[in-house]
Amino acid sequence: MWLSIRLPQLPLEALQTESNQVSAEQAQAVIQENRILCVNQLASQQGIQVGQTITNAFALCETIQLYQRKPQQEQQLLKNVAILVYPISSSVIIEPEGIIILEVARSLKLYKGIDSLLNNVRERLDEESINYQLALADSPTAAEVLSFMPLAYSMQAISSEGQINSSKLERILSKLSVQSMLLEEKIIQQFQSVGFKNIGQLKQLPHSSFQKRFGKKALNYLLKLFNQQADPRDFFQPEETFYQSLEFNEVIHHRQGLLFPIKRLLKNLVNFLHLQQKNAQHLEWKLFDSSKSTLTFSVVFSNANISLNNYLELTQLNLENHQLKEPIEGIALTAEKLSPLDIKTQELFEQAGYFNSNSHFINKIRAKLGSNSCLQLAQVPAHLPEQASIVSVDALPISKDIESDYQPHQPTWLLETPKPIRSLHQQLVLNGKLTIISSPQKIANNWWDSSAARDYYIAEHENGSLYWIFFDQLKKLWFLQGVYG
Amino acid sequence: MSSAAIKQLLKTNRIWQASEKKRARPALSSGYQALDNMLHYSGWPQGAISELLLSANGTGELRLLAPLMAKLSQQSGYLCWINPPFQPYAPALSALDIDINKLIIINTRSDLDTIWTAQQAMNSKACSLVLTWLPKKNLSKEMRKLCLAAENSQCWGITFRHQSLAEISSPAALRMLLQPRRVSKALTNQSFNQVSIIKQPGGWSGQQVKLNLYPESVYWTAQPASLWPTLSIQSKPSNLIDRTNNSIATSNQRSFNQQPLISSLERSVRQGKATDRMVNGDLNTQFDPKANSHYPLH
Repeated sequence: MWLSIRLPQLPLEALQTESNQVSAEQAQAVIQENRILCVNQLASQQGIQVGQTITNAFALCETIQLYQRKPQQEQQLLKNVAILVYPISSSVIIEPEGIIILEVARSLKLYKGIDSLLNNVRERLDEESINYQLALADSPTAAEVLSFMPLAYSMQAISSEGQINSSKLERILSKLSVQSMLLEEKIIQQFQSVGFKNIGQLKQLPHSSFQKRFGKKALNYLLKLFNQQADPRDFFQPEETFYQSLEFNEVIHHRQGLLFPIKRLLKNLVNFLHLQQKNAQHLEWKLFDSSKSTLTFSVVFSNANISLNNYLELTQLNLENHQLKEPIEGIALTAEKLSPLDIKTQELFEQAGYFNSNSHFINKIRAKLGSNSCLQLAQVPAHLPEQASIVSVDALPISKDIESDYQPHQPTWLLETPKPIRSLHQQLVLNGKLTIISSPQKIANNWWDSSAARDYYIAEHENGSLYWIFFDQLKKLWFLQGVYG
Repeated sequence: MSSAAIKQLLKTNRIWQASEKKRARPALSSGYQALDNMLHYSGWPQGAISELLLSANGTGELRLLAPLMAKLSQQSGYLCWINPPFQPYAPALSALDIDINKLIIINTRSDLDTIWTAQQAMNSKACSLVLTWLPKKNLSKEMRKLCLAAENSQCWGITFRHQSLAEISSPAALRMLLQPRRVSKALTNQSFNQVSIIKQPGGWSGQQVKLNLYPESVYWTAQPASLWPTLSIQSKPSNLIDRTNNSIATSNQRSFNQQPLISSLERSVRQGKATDRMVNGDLNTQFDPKANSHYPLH
């Protein structure tokens, strides 16, 4: 059983890159080779039809907005729709004219019947603001043809058990006019000139005479239509990496205007990632401006969930750091280096703690303050105190069971580089007098790295603070190493 | 005002009534019994900002907060340190039972960024504790923002500010002045930090309590200044060469006694008898050869 999804407004919908176009309060049409290719409802009400010339269109409606067709964006939209319905069936065919065909017989059991399957398809398609028409048949060719009719028409062939009744299907296919066959215009005209009106009349002809008169191609089509010949098609294969671009109809001058296309691309990315069960940690944005230069910026994530809001928020924060010099004509999003989604087992019962462990806020802060603003602390087995504790941007291996050289009475604050202390007349001075109040603790023999021989003391400052100071036996100088916080 | 409106107001937990005696308010014990006794909520209030006023960084503020940090680091949620004055020392924090893997240290460039970061950390609901070091400025508007963020996320917010701001009003729920450590001669050299409560939720304030933040200090044995290793008593390392070439002062001579090897070497170098190799060889017995670069010879 094949389900076809036709996008009648595909050329127009593929152009909807800016938010102001979503509201269809204006007559709009897409043109190709100076002819109208696709019209919206308002334009159709004004009498504008497919195939008219531009002059005719303007004569009928002065305010109509015409756009050049963008086939590349159409294919992108088709691919996105294919990704949306891919979870329902892995046998997805994309017909470049704007029809997507799915093999659904094997999914019927999962979805418990054709009705709930169709509802599921509708739910998925309604997420994207697109118009679509559905049809069911027992061959891809028949499904294609029936998609030009309302769904109720092809539903006549579905029995109450949810199976296709082939004799009923044959009957409704036979009733269709010859024009609905997706064949070359020349062959259709041949049928009409002989006097054939509907497909049923063609079917009654003997195959050999049919082939003689209309050619082998037409016969093969007819046989495929009635599922009497194998109909092999290329199935859609989702790509490994994500690259999509949008070209705007009107240039965008401000960041706010970029929000809609950014959201659109991110939505496609999220669908793509859900399908692939992958996780993007590095997004690359490219903005193409009118002076043909490209502004590139990347967005980096540390946490591993697919979330449209997170992506959008961080992209916006990153975008704020860039100045737009020229109006923007297009935008592209690349996500390579996808890593498998690590699926965490969630606990059945709520954890005792109130706080989550979502590291998204770190991404946000990094996006605004720079990637080296957020640091994590780790403990390393090292002799010298300044090496035993390190801060790093990356998430560090969990340092739980490190046998450190920690001796009691070490301070909680450490100076990254020890600060020299003046020593004058048997007194240590650092913005005030220091008095040693402990016995020495020696650290020496760090021969494998940099040599060190230090005597550590706890000193009390005259203001009451406690300092951790050492006498460097090699430099013969006093240094401040840490502060007791 | 109708009674319904009053009830509404009382529900928000912002009004304290004398009649409410021990209404359970979320707080976590400070880990210091004497301090808990002084606090009406018996600990650090949850979903509020507590302000610690200090004379300088390093007066025992981390020690005071260590029990709270240790407890919260065992639960879910991060501990955020925003704009700390120094680098935290991991081994010492681990020794205080703080899980350092939960710590996030964020360095900011401007006051505006600091407040923004603190708000983000609190509002994320992923941080159980947010420590913010604020500059010596009257930031009452910004403090109000932090209070709202803490209330919204129900986290523990601690801000560190200079003690000179004690007189200026602040929207923080709890305000404490932590005074530097003083050694009490009367109590067998035990040391105390005095904590004065300027403002606290749930009742009257003005309490003072002495906390022994460094109980281990009784085991520290002070040494007289004469025993300190002070070979060179210079303020700048570059002066060292001048001094050693001139005759060494008697006070220096005395301190050489602690370092007989160095002093004898230095003397022979001064007389021009020692070669580099000899110095190296002798130094190897005690130090690494690299030490030469630090040694005031060349």
